[in-house]
Amino acid sequence: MILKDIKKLVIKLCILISPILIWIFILIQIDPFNYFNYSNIISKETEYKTARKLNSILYNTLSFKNTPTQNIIIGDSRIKRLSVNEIAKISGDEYFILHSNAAKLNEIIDLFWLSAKYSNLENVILGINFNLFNEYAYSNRVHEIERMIANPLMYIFNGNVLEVTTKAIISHFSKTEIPNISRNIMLKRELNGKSFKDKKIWWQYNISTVAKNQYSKYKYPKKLIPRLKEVNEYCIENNINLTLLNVPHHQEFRQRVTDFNLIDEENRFKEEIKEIGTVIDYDFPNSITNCRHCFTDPIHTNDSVSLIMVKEIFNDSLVIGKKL
Amino acid sequence: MLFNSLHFLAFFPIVIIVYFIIPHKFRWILLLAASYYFYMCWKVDYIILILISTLIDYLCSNKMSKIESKAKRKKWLYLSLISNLGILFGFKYFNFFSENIQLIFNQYNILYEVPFFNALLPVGISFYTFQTLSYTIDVYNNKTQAQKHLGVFAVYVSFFPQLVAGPIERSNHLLPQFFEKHEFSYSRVKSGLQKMLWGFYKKIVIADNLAILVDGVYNNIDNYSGIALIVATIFFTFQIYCDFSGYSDIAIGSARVMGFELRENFKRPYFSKSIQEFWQRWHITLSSWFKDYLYIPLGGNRVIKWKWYYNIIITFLLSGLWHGANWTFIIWGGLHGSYLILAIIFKTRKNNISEKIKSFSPILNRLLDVSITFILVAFAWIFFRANNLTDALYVLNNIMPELSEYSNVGTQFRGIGLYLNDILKCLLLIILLIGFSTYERSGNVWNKLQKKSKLIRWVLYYFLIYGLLFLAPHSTINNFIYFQF
Repeated sequence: MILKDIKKLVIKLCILISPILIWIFILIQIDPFNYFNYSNIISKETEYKTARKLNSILYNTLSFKNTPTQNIIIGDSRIKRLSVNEIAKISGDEYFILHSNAAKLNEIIDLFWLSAKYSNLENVILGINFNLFNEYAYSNRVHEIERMIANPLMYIFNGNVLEVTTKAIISHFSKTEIPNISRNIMLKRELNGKSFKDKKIWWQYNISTVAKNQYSKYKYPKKLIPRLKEVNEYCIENNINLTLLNVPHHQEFRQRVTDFNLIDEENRFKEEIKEIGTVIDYDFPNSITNCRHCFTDPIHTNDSVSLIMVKEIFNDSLVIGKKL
Repeated sequence: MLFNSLHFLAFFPIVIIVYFIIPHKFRWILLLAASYYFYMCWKVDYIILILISTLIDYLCSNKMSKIESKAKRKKWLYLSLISNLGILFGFKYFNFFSENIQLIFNQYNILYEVPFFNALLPVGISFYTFQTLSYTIDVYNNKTQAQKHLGVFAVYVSFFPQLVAGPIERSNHLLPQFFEKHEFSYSRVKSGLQKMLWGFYKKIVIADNLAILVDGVYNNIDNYSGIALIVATIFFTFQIYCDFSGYSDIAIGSARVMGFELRENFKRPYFSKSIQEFWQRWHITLSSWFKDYLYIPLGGNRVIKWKWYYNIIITFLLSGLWHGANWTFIIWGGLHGSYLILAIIFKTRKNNISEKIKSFSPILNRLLDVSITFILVAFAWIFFRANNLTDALYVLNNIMPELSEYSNVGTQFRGIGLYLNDILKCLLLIILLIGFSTYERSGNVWNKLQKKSKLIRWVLYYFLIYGLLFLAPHSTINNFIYFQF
């Protein structure tokens, strides 16, 4: 009787855990983030359409870990259009753009320390802007990534990895792009049912809602400057060239800083980062910030402007931008 | 060792397998070794405190059992009380009293440095101390026999499922179970595992997700006001329930797998219609301890009215102090005591109003009672959760929201890195909890599901396992809140 009971329990427990084992097997095979870096079942294109798009911070961090370079640009989505090919042509150096959508300054600093673990860095550019310099602009994804890297179970049993893997499988077999449904629903609700693909509507949304979200609640982030100073000290000790890049925003978006009475805070931000290291500033009234066509939306420059910035920065001949 | 750790995931099956393999007469040795190992995983040295409590209470109870005269037995009872409460006071309350004495000295410009005791608070000290105290008091009162078997008594004091956060057991309930031979039973093991599964879900998925927002707000309280404080307080109300009842479920479930039945600690407390009822459903083993060993010996309600109020308030102030050496806990206890006294004072008026509402709509009456009780309990939790009295007062001064805040609830928590989606996820988890609790109203959920089709049960298992694996926040492994007590 007891043996029968034990047998019954063991069988049921095996049935219970079998989907978990199947999931582990599938994930190791698909591995859209190249965590195990073992299988090539899905194409790079599918990875870009799913993993990089839906969780750029994890995808890019693991990419850097798998193929580290000595030169790196770390920032949010605003730096992703800086062309590594063009940089290589000009400087001869191979750069990696470690960007993450909606990265916060504390995460950019965390990413610096993480990348320093995997590479003997030589040149580092951190993309930091005033809208990230706010106690309320906070996110904490890098620590989770660090824990994931240290413990494969964290990666295997991660809700986002499950979602991305499912989408990668569907995308791979159906050859179609899987929309980010929850993001689309949220944007549709915020845009009162209008499409975010309409540039005019998207532009206005950024000026009204995004700017309000970023500037309406401000508190000086007292921990960030000391953390940036630590980065700078590390760079000096290890002969790493550190540059802080302040990318341009369209003047309408810049105007919102004035609307929310944050001009003094912005000036203080620029004064303080100036003390940390070389700062290249594009976010002041200039021919880029005045030009609407130069932007895909009020905070993201288009490819040609990004190219101008690359040429100016890497040829060391600033025309529009300036050193603070 | 934490229940919600990989360490426990390996430890528990090994103990269970060995437990059922070895003969019954050796099982107490296994349980004792496992319990001490479980405790020593946290801090090796502090097992000495459990050993001291065990030996003193064993000695005192056995001495008492040999003495007829109650008066002569008293000295052994005092020895037990003084040594147990002395250890508890030294480790848990000494610094709190020193701090307050120092404050008074400073106030009167008395130049004297009050000594402080630099030691970590032993995990679960309040739980096992109260469990052993109840035993010696029961032996003194001849309500239970003194345990002759030192080993079994040591297991009773340190039984690992309930060692660090209860349920606080009574000797006449738990001790005899160590002498019963527990055979492996599929249905009992299944029932235990089901209880553990739901306990893990409540802790790891619901409580830990809510904790991100609650900790973010309450640990940076100056950054928040209005609606953010309301949301954080309501979330904490559910977090602490899921955290603590989750622990109790895991404890009861893991003991059940081995054949032991521990006392229930929670009975859907947020569905209580009054504060009195709340205390019959919340942390039942502690409230019944205070009732049996403090409130009733003080005279309970069989005294004149003011003495009755005094008994209530003393019981609740000490219950608050039991939770932690901080004024916030004492005020929390005091608030609950005051609620009860006010309920007694206004009982007639309240009943009259209730009757009128009931005649109009009984459901509305019940809903109002439950809602008012919930709001009072949630309000008191502000003091329980706040890191200090200043923070609690800040919450009280800033909790009223401005109308403009309602339009941008989703951006309130950007400072913690949370967005509207995260808040909605937490709300869904709370709704799931309420749904489960509502279904539980008419009896044990798992027993009811036993009568449903297999498919429903398996879908539920996978739903819970999916949550445990994929919805748990991975950024940190959170301790159980009640570990600190």
